[in-house]
Amino acid sequence: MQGRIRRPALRVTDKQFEGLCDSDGTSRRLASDPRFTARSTGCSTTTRCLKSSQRFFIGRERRWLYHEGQRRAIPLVPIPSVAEVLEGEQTLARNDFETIDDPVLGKISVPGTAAAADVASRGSVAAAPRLGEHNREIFGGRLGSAIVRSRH
Amino acid sequence: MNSIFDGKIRVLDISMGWAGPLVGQMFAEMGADVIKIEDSHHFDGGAGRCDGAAGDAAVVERASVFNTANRGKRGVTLDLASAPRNRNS
Repeated sequence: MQGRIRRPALRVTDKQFEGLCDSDGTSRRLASDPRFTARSTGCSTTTRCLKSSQRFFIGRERRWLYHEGQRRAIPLVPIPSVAEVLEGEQTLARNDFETIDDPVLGKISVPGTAAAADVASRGSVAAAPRLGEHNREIFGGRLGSAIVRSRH
Repeated sequence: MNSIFDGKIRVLDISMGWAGPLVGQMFAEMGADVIKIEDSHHFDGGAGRCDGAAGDAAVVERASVFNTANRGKRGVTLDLASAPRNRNS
């Protein structure tokens, strides 16, 4: 899979910017461009810098980008796709996503619990309530059926 | 093994949006009976129930954030805009 720029923004130090330019022959001239040398972080919004970076990233494999970034102390890390996250080994091991039976959508995958306690098992994972789904059950049982009839 | 609360506490969740409902969801996952209360004139987060609609199903009830932060709860609606009635009238 080739590298892609999802969000065209670069926030790097001057040294990291020089390393990035050095790893790409086509943008090497940017490192000495007076418009960028004063404050390299300012180039993040310039069209020229973005286009140059885009050409650089699109034409290279993610693995290469990662290793070259590490070698040059540039914070380049691969951003996994949604499918890669869902099927990731750690994701599966930690139950980060669970399948619930949604009354509208059927079986869907949803994020798992944000905080897990190992002192007790979790109850069944039910879908979020529909709007007013339990009005009759709760109002009828607690407050009397008259209220249920008058409002719903 | 029982859950922490094992249905022994009841939580009335009148929060909206993301952070508050998420806390209620944690209570629900630990076994509390969480009842989500929504104003019958102003649903949770307004668009919170209505984003991410897909297909031909009703727009309402399709918001991923809502469904994530409110699972495991029971839900009721109340007219929170009206003044309480006088019991003696």
